[in-house]
Amino acid sequence: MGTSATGVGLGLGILIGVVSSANFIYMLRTLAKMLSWADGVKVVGEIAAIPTLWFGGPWITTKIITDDTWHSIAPSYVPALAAVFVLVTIYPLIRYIIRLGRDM
Amino acid sequence: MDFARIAFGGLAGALAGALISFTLLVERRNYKKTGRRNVWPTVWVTGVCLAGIVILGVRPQLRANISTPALVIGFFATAFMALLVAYLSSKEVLPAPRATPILDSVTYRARQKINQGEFGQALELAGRALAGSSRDLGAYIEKGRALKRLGRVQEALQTVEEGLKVKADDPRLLYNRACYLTLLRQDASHDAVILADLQTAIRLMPKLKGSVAMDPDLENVRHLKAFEGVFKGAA
Repeated sequence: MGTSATGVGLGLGILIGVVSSANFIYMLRTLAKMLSWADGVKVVGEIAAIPTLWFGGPWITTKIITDDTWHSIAPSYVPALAAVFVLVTIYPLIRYIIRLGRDM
Repeated sequence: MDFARIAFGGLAGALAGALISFTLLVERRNYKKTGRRNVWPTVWVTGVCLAGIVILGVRPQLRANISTPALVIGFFATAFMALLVAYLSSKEVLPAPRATPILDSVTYRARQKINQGEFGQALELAGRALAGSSRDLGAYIEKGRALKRLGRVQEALQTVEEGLKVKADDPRLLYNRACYLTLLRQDASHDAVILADLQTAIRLMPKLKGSVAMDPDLENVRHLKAFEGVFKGAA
């Protein structure tokens, strides 16, 4: 199980990392425009969606991922997810912040 | 598993730090632009992030899988970095970001095209943005600007009036309507609307004062006696 679990963890981490970072970038765009109370509510929904996808999305309740397999894939899943998420989001995040700073 | 705990903690902290600092910066930017405070989005986002951190700390199963020092370091490092980058860019120490098609909104790209003098392409991009969302106020503004620069001022005026149907008190749209009405001005019939638009625009977005005083588009109304009242009435 060792090597294959690591492979599954890495693959899943990369996949979920790409999906959640796309969600995060979309959220930044919503945040950058927000002006009202209702916009805040919308953003909160999007924030809640990210950790839910990481550790409790529909994929985690499938037959393939049981408690045992989760414990064996987690050591490779989480670092892969963190690395992909940071790599994908860092550039747009910095760009948005620079733009915000120049607007102030 | 230790590496996973550190990665999880760092990622959760960084996400919370990035969101809270970003929301604070947006609130500050909006306040500077409109002169109106709206702290609710900041309160919402901060509340949810802090609640998430508390849940991580309270639930034993989650606490066992997360490194608290990594969470704290991730939070403060990201927040500090975001605020530092914003400060440096507000002082123009950092260069302005260039537009890249994948990351930037169509409206932003339309604005870039206008600044580069490519008005036809800007018009096409703004049209695409409006096709995607008829509530995109920025797209109405950029479409109007592109049309005006192409010499189609009457159409530019119609565009900002469509935008004002979406949001009647948007200061940028009001300002642009005043400019286009002034450019089309042949008699005094629209002067009251022009002056009222400028007054409201300045009241809602005080930084427009400079533009109202200097913009060549407003040359035809600057000689009016009531023009000075625009600044006084907005104060």
